[in-house]
Amino acid sequence: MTAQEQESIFHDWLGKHKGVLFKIIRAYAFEEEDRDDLFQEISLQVWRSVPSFKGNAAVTTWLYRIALNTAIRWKGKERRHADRTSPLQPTMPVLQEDNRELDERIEWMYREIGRLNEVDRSLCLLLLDNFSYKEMADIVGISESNVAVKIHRTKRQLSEKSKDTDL
Amino acid sequence: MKFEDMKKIWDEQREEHVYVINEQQLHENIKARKQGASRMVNKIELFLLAVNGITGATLITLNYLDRSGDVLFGTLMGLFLLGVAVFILARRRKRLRHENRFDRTMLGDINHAIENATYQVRLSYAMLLTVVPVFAIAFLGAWKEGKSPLVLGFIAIMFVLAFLLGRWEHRGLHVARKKRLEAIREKLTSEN
Repeated sequence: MTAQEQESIFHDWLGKHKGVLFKIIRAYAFEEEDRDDLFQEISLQVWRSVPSFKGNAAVTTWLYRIALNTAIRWKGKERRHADRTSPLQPTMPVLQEDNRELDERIEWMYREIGRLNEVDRSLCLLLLDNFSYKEMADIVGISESNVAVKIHRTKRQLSEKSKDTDL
Repeated sequence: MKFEDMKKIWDEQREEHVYVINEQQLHENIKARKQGASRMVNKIELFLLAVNGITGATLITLNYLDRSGDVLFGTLMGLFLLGVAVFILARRRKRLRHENRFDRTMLGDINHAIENATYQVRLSYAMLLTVVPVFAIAFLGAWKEGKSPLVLGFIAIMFVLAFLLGRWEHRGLHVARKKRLEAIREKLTSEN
């Protein structure tokens, strides 16, 4: 695959599926600077992964796996520290928040999802985006029964939390 | 609120409009990050290869040419350093071969990341060990030449500083990162 083809596929994926990446950065990073940093890190991994994509899975599934895997390993402060010690110039932000009205219920959900552990957060996002237990097990690499146990715990945790809110 | 109700709220969101992407900047930043990450690892590997390889080969050659004194220590030290260089070279080739490998599952990728982290831990440990023979050679050389205690003390202090810094990097950065990845794997695979 030529660099140009890789670039073209990457931009095509980004154009069609950026919503998936935005959901993930909102669930894993909580400050603008961190979200920007995580988005860039995920984009880099997605770009790198393009030649490995053989079309056996849907692009969305592939993107979820790459992005979630990057997100669960990402640490904002550690990365910023690495940037400071690196000889490279600090990079410019790439995301600009749209000035639209935020839905309070969605904001609450992201807040509560963000309080789950990294792995449960991934499964919760996949569940909310209609992935079956079988698909989740395939993406994460664990058994379906293990997925079911974690999902059950997450659902219970979120329902409990919702009792404390007026939404 | 039941989870099913949350799901309905979730489906209402139009997430793709939350941010506007500066694609030109993204392209430049990706390029910079890619080069930055591999440049750092590359530099450390090449530095260690050069230090271990050259010092090892020099020690063996010198001990072979001048066999008047005790050559065992120097030869063994040289062989050890060459062994470290060969290990780094083999691991480097493996790393380059797998640099852009992506597994089919998240667990597979985590396992791959742990494998890489283990390599970084071994590499930083090798770097730490390299300080000892380099110090020994520098100190013995200075001592044989009859340098003042001040110079010998300076060499010893530099050794302690280099050793402590190397140990901090080894434990604080590489071992900690490996432990964090192992903790994530534990969360992924645990049945509760």
